[in-house]
Amino acid sequence: MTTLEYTLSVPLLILLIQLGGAYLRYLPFERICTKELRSQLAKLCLLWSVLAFFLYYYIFAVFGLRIIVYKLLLFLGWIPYFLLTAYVIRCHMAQHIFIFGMQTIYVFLLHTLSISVIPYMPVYANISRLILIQGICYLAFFFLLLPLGKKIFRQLLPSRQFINDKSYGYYIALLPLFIIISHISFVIDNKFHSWQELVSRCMFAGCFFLIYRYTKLEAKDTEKQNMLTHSNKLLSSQLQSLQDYTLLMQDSQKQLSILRHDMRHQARLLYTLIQEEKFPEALGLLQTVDNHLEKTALHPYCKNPIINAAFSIYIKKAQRLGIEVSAKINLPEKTPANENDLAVLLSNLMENAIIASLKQPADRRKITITAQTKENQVILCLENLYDIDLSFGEDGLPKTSAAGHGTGMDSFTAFVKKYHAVTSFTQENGLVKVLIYWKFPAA
Amino acid sequence: MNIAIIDDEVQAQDEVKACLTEYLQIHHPELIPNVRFFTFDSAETFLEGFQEGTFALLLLDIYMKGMNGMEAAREIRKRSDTCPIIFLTTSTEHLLDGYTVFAAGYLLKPLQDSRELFFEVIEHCLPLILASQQQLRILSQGIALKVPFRQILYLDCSHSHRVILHLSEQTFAAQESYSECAEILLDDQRFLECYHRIIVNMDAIVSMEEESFRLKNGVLLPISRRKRLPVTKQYMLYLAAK
Repeated sequence: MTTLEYTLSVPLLILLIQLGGAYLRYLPFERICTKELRSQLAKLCLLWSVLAFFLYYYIFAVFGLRIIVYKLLLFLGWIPYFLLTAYVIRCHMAQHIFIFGMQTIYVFLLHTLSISVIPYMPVYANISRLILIQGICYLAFFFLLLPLGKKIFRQLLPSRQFINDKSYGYYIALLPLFIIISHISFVIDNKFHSWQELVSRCMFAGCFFLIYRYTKLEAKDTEKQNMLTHSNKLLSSQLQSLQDYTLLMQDSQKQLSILRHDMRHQARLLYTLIQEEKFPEALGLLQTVDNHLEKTALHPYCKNPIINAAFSIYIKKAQRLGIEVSAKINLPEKTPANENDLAVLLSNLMENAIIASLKQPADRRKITITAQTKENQVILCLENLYDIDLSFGEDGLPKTSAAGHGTGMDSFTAFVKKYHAVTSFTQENGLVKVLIYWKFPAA
Repeated sequence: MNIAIIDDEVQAQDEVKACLTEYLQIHHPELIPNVRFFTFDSAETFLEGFQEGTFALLLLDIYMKGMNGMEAAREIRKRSDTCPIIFLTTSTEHLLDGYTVFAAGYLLKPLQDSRELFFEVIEHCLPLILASQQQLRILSQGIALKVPFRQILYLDCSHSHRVILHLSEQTFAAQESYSECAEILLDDQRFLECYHRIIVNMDAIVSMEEESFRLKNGVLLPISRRKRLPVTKQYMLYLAAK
């Protein structure tokens, strides 16, 4: 091969290696990417690859085909691809960093494997050939291990709930990256290392596997723990509400017994007033009795006790906190779906609306809840005033990093998935509106 | 515009009639010549002749001899999804049930005490009442037709770009253009353009699927992929406002 041919082939090889890395980094996000995002990312990566080819060619033409140049281009060439992926798949920076660290460890292992083959090559003395053969060996290992790599990387994405936790999320995200950077600094030189030195690099396989397992298990535990905490919180709120409701009923019964006790006396008084033709006084007395009667009435929000409890807890809580609440509820007494799911959904949405309302000035705190059924169609609409701009994720839901808040969104997503619900989450002119439509399964 | 008052007390019937007339005289005198009151002293008598489109508004007492107002309302809803019902009663006991039959209002008697609220409820219902009277005037095979909006399930275009009006049991080919019909129908909140050149009456939808609306006659209408979010949102808002 001529020098020109080498100068053309090596940039192409580097680009293929970089594109392989970009593909691995994309895999964890595959399931959350829409078709449009996928196509946008592919186009941008392709465009950059064309530009990079000419750039690499120029660099090799100026500095010559040297191992140090090759290594530097390999080490730095990922930056544009990483930035492009982070730009297209937004709002997941911690996850991008974690995935990048893990991918670098994985790629480092492949390079180690490919370099270990070089001493057995007859062309060892020629640097240009050496570089080319190392690159080809790398690609061979990459494609050979691709089925395994795909399997690992597709499952590698830690949940946002886990990684966004400020207390330890970013530490975990940065861990694989720091491990690899600490080693990379020793290998940026103008040679391929001996196999003895490569042994220590093989230990990265252990790092990769341990971090992978730790992240998966810890994420699972954290999610379980968060869900448990959230469920306990809901349960204690529901218990509190049932206690409140019992107190209300006791109070109502007390009022009713007082009224019953006074009834005979008031009837006699009324009889006397009418007999003496004191009609205004009689009307006044009737009005008083009527007012007392109204005080004994309990107005449930809906006839289903569990859903009513959910409404009662949060509407009372909101009212206690000075939030104006208006509710129009039409839900059947017996729901063909799991009423607990609906109660948890309502609780989550109401809790979020209350938290948001409390951040508003006192005169701009208002929540409106509408639940309507038409045949087996159900629509739930929850509106609250919120002047601070929300940022929405790719899934159309508001993003949050507040502890416990994301769990509410997770249970919202779980409900949507379970009941194939259609949703709309919008913020217009300071009014946040959540709409959820689903169908009760036919009884 | 036919208005039915169903109450077993003649005095209460007169009070409702007087209140409504007063409201119309103050706020909408132009409607008075078209308004006709029909009074019924029991739900059974009323239901004998009631069908979709007979009345523009129902004022219904709850506590009556025989069938009570809530039972009557459930029966009414089996025959008409949209006819506005205002309950007039002496107790808030059935307030919650009122939602289940999509009541437009729930007022406590005597009406004189809640006169302002009564006026507000009527004011709120009036656009709905007037909309229920609306008709689409079309020319079909040279014959002028007036098709009440409530009878239209959906409208689409044939291969020859002719507007086809689909009713429960019949279809009409209109001589008017799609844009002429769309301009009139889309002005009414119950109609929605769910796909290119397809307008659906949202009252006729029984379910919203992933990519289509299922109507009460079993027809599936596609939802535009491009307009999926605004279309589904508009339908959800319409349902919530019921």
